[in-house]
Amino acid sequence: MNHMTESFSYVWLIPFLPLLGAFINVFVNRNPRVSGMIACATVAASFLLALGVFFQLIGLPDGERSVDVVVYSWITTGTFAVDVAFLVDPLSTVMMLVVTGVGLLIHVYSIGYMGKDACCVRYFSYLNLFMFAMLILVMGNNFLLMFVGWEGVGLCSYLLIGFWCERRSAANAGMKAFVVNRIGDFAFILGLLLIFLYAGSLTYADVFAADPAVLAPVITAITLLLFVGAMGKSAQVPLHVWLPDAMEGPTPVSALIHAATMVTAGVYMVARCHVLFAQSATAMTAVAVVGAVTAIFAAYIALTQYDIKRVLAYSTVSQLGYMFLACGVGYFTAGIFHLVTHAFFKALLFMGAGSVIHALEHALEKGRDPQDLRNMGGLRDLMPVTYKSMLLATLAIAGIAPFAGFFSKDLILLGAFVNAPALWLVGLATGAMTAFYMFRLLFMTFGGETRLSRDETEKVRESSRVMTIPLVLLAVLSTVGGFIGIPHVFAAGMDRFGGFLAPVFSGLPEAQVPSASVELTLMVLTLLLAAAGIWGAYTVYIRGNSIFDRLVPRALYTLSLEKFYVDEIYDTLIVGPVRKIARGCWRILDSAIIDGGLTLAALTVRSMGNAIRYTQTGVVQNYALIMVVGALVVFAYITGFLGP
Amino acid sequence: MTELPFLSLIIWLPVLGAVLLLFVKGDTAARWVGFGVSALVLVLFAVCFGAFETHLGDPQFVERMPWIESLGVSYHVGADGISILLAGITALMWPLALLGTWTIVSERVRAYQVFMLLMETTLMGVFFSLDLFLFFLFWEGMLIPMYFLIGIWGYENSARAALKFFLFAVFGSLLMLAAVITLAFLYHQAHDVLTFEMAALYQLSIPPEVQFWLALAFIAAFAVKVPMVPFHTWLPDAIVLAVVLVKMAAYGFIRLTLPLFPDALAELAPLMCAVAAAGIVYGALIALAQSDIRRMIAYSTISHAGFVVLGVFALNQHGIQGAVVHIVSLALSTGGLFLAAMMLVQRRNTWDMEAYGGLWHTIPVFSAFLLVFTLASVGLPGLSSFVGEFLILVGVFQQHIPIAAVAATGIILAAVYMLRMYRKVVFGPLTREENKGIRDLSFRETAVLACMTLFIIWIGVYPNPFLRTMEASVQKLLVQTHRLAETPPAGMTPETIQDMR
Repeated sequence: MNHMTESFSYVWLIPFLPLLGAFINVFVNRNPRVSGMIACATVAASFLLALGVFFQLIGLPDGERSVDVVVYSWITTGTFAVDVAFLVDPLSTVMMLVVTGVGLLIHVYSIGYMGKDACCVRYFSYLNLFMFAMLILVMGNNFLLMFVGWEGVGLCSYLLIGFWCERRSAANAGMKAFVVNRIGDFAFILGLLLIFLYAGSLTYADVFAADPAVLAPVITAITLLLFVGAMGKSAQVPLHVWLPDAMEGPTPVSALIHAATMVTAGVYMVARCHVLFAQSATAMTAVAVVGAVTAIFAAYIALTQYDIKRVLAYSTVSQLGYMFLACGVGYFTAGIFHLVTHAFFKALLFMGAGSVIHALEHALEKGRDPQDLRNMGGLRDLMPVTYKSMLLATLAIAGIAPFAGFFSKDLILLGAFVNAPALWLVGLATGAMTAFYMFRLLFMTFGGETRLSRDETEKVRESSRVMTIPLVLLAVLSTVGGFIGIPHVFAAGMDRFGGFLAPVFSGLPEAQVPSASVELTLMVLTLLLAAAGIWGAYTVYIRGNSIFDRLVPRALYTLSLEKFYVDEIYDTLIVGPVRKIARGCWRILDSAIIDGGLTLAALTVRSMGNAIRYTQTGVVQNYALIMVVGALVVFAYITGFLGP
Repeated sequence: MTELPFLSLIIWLPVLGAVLLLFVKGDTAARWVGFGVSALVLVLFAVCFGAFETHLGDPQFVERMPWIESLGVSYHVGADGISILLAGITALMWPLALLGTWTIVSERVRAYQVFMLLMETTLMGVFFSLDLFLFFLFWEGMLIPMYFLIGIWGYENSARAALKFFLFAVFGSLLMLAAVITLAFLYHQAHDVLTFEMAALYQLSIPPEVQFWLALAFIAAFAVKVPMVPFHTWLPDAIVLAVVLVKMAAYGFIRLTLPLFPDALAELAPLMCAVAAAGIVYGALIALAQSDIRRMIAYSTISHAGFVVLGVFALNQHGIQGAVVHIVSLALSTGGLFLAAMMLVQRRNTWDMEAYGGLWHTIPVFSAFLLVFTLASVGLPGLSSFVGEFLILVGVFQQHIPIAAVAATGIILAAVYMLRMYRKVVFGPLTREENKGIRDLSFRETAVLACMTLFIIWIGVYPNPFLRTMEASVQKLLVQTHRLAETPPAGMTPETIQDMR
């Protein structure tokens, strides 16, 4: 294995280069116009290296496609030893390619979107730093290094959400994201501690090879704790509250961090630990149920939101739910597949939305919100490239064949149908809702009559090339990206994606596959429901039919619009009480009881001291002197007493 | 080279500097003398550290000469892996602190330099003493410079703080003194020799019930200074000393309480862990309620000190190594946080968080450093505190899972109170006129904070040199600590214990 480790010894450059870029931008570069170039160049280099890893890997036989590359030993105390080391296998390679590939396009787009911002040097350093942390997360060969990346991306997310930190809402949103993530991280840490206690190591290879009998007493606890960590990072109910607020950050950040990469870290982690999860039926059920509930819950909220980025944020939460559903029913490959296609179309959707916002910021009159769908409409002809690419992405996320989302979502629903029919129904309903709210977004933005004034309309411009080229590239990927995983029922042996990942998930029991006719029926059903969703959106938002207003009870609508009041509930039940307890502890317990009591004791001593003042000078520092003298006296006494 | 009495030089050079200061006129000259002497100590220490053999568990650079022969007291100093790290962070922090507070202390400058140097001597003395009596003298001697330093800083409650601190400290010290004398007495009873050699006293077998009371006496002395809840209320008023005291008291736990009272620890260690974990949460909660930056840092220190105590009383290698790393890291992160805050307050003259806001664009260099120290305090992986905290949790988790779980909630709360402070001070709109003309850090201030930042990152990214330095010493300590325990502690196999013997 040694020569193989050596042939991959360059992989540390993949995370390191973006770190170098951040370093150059912070300490060396003083020219804002170059900062974007530096950032892009380093990420491009990482992407090329990741491609190199990919081709090198497929040149190896299946059984040898997992290589540990140790860089140095990081923390060692007795039996506890953790290295800074990378794991190169199909799963980490897929993640590397997604992170650096989509990341590169978003970096390029950022030059157009953020290039004129006064703080763009800082922006690009954060973005590069994020790439570093994210790559550490997916490439580490042990849990602790994953945790470094895990918290590192959380930090970058905090900094980028609060990028326009002079805005109070942005500063608050950043903090909320970090703290909610920390709740997940708390569970993650406990999970790691349990793993170390029972498996005696934090390196994947050792932990996954550990005897199931040894882990058995705690396997459910371990996997559930890890999953809570994943819920925080991947914004699953009830820890989803930070992600919609995270939209305060610049839009490319939403595309990169809060759609394509960071939020999928939880899915990656569950897939990486599939060996552990597969040992606990309880944990698998929890993953599937949380995923399904999150999928439909977030989709329901997305139905009525008016902020274009918030619709997409809830849509992301919902799609992440799908990925967990896939993992929970044992279709880990499907989960990762959806992660990849979602990265394509959701990054595109956010960047398209960014393109619209960017255009409207300059066009709309003061006081009109450029993110509000009600201030848009009819932009189709004004921004044709943005429109066409977003249309393709919307078709992809709606699950229309043969766009990318169709293949991955279809595989997830198949898995759910086989293993958990109830959850399959949930997934099916979510699919229809997804098609509805996404086409609602598309129609309200680009379709129908414009809601801009004539002056405003004249100022709307299609975005510059540097922004539209990444859009077009992602549109291509959203359209054809699904063909890397063609279902068995259409063409045997064409599921290249599944084939590539197969060595990673080889330990799992063979998935049950229903007959071809059942599979085709399911597919048609899914497509029909998606079409129904599109038709519903068309009826309401293009034809202006108010059928839903009449049919849907007001309460159901309000519940969606107000996001189930989750934030309000947390404020009342958690944030407020903690604040009160903290203040109570301080004012009553600490200041009054403990300090008061001790001060009282101190005063008593002092008044006693006053009474015998003639023996002392009353100067406090003399106590020390007297103590030493006293000590010597006691000594003399003891030694005299003991002496001959 | 190795013939030089390095440790004595390191210990006593600051006293020489203090004497020299008496003949120096002018504030600037005094500052240069103070800084120069502490920098020289740092250089000496660096040479010493370079010659330190990390694979040895025994004290090195030992100097020993009889002192008060009738009492069996000798001047016996030496450095093992634990003490050299703690002395090292002291040697590093002293010139940095003096440089950082160059203009912050503008009155009684000479006195400030004198007492800072005297404090350095007593600290180094505590870390290097191998004789219990000598240890006690340095320990008590520290009270004098501390008392004056509290006065020099002159925060609003300083008189009250000094009184409180003094009574607490004296109370603890008296108990410790009694225990020290008893130990010597017991040794005399057993071996008919009067000695205060720590190594000899470690070998003493003391009846468990006596151990219990003696251990309590030592713990009381150290707990006041760590500070552990509920003996912490002097700290918010005397925060300047906090980081120093944490170091020294935790060292006391490690050097004395653990190896001297192995049987008593069976009962006391879980209790200490529980109290420490409660202190972590309690300190963090109260930090959450503060709007005064100084008090917030003070309570966060109390919370972090809980982690240190927790690690020590995990009584295994992960815990103790984690605790020592955490002490070093605390000096850097909390020290840096406090130093940065002082620089800010020097400019605006208020500790109230609400008086700031919107500083990001006004003073970006300061804001960036404050962010580093904030994140280090939050325990972000890749920075120093994470290594210590995680190792401590690993250590405690092997002994007391529920306690470790309670302690780990501290990491959530730390994120809340630290980021809350950062948001109020640095983020948000710039609303106050006074904050608009505020100056960014000078070259001197930047250099000080940058130096601390480098160490924070170094320990976070590559802590192994530090861990390796103390590994052998901690193993030796554990052999002593568990000499009567029937089962070897986690992280140590019977074989390694055999090897040690």
